[in-house]
Amino acid sequence: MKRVGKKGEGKWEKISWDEAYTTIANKFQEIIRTDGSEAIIPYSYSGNLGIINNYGVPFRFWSKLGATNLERAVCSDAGKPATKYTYGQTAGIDPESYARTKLFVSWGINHAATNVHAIKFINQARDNGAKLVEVNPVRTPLGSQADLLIQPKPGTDAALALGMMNVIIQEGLYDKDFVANYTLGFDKLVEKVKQYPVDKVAQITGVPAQTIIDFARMYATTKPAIIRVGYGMQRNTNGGRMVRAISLLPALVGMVGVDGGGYVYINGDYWAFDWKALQRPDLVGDRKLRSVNMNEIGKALLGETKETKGKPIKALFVYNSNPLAISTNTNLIKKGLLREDLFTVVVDPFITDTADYADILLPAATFFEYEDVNQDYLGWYVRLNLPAIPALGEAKSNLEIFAELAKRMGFPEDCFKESAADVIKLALKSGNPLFEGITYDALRERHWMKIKLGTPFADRKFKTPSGKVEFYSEALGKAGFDPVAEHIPPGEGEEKTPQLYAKYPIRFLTPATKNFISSQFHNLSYIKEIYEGPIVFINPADAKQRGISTGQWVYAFNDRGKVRLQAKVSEAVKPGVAMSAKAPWHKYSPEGTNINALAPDALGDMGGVSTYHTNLVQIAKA
Amino acid sequence: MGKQLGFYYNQNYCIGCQACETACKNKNKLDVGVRWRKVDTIETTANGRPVEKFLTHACMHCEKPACAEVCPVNAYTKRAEDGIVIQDHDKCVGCGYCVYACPYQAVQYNKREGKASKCDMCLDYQKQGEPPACVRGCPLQVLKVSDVSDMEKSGAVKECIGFPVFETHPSMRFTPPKK
Repeated sequence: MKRVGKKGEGKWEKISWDEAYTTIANKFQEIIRTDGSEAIIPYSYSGNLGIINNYGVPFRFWSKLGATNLERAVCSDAGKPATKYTYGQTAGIDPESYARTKLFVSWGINHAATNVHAIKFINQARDNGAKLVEVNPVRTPLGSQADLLIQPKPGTDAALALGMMNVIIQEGLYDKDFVANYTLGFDKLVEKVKQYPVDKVAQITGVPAQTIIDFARMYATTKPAIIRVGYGMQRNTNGGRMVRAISLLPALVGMVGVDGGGYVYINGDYWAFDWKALQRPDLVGDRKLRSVNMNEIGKALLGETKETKGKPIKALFVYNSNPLAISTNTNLIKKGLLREDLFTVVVDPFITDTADYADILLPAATFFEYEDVNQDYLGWYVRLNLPAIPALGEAKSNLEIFAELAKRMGFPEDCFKESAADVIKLALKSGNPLFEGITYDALRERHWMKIKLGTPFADRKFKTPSGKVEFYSEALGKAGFDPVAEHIPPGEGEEKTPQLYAKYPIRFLTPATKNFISSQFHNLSYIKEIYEGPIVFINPADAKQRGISTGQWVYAFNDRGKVRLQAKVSEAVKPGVAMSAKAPWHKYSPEGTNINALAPDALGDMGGVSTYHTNLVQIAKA
Repeated sequence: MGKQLGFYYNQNYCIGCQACETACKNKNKLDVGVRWRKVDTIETTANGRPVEKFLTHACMHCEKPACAEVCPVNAYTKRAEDGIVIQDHDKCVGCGYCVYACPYQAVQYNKREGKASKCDMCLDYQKQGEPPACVRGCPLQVLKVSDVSDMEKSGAVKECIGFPVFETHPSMRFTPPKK
């Protein structure tokens, strides 16, 4: 469809695919002539997780075209390097091994919203007497069930982990054999944790000293024990530091390479596809392409990042994402999307908030309608995704769309002519032993196959520079961090920004809800029916101070925006913290604005990660 | 007493994900506003601290179903062979008596249709040896269907948090609370 109204109005006229492709290719070619290929930028994330349709063929197209590189750092990008400094890799244990643990620690994740399919393994362990601990500033459903719930102030988890290590070392509860033989820098850790005595940590985290001691003892003496770290926690200005500190705990108590014990964050390292063949980075050639961090897309569209100042973005091609609903500082993105000289293409199965600003809107097929292959964030399976139905209406997969656009752009490479089966076969032929026996034909027969891997680190070998688990990491130090671990206060908060804190004293958290996947599905009538609406959880003490009661409408606001929410007074959050789930669509939200209008577009300490949760607001009756 | 099928629910492990509810809606193609199954959220205290509990509930397939008692056109039948309470939807005249009579708000009125309807425990699935959609949809397997006397023999209880036991004698049973 092509836009006939003003940008944002969502008024359309139906056109043919042929006209759409021609319009896009002509416009791209014109921009390349006048402004260069880097004036074109893709925007995509996890609308589908297909190895072909998300992680694969679109990259070939952008590499060949020479578009601005989008740094896709919205999700888990601080915790990945943080974990790698410790273990030499990010990937960890098999979630199915949860069933064999004696202590499960859910740290900084709401399993009930984002990892429901892993809970049955946790419950198998609980049926066999395992204990459950949750560490989370928000009490989640598992937090309600937990044997121990710890609610630190947001952004203080590094201090909590260091305080626990202080107790474990002081009381001699660490694994002396493992520490002596398989770790580097224990002496430096001993020195470091002296800066984190329990009373000080209690003050930083708001967790009672005795609770910290109890948790430390429980973790050090209950074996095997598992820590699962979530992504939400590290979407903070100090998120990488928090994950780094937590990742040291398992090594201290010898819970590495032990079945039913260990650590897991994200198992992307086990995605052993042939990435070069899939994404063809070689098609970039000698060109040095500029980058834009997706968390700064608003600034970039307005020419306010270093890379885009004076070199404006002229075309934005959005697929697999709805940035206006899910990204940060969305009022800024809206301003960018309203630019008359910006050519915007949106590919989506639905007319999203972002789609309303598109010049050309293309109907995307869903994963029910095409062939692809998937692997899990955590689970150890490669799965063939076969179409359940033919594509509805005129919808097309990304594979088809980018192939046709490549043709119109005159890209001669054969990789743009490959079928889904061709791409899958290519991607699986990486020669990585993890994929031993996993072929296209085997997947056609069995549909899902487990990667070949035993208990990670059972051989006590680590891909760190020293070959050991690194309590002390020179690389971490060189990157500008404390080489062991450290707590630093959040970028917006009482300590770092006292004036801002005086105006906006509530730490606003916007985690996932069970009802959506990020913003996906808010348009479905069955989801609208069960979605509670834009609820904000606020502690009774904060509510009383503001004369707010459950059911009342309130505004949450800061310098970035203002959003209308309905209060739920609840002990689910501690005083000074409020929580409202992400991410309803703006167009279905009161006054047309969702919570991401308040979200900061500052970048985190590692990996350029988003910082949704380092967000100060004030809340007042509407 | 003969066979009486009922829902069995482990509230200890329920996370309130509403997959049961959604599976029910999808399978039965229910209109928006018609919710044969619902998940309630209950703020309560346990072990001295505030917690959140959930309760999934649908038709209780009561021993003495209030819907059947008040229905002026005898649209409801309690099946002798398994105790499932079913409604003959063609007979329903939409008077709404059952909607008011049911203490569990299990009977739902559909304004578009002008009729009432409720859960039939996916009788069609059960005839094929399959559990109901809600049971199949539960990712934590905290919801099951079983004979009430069997459930009681294996220690199931009649009460759980947020669940009132009315004189209609509901056929739902629960895992005892986890310490």
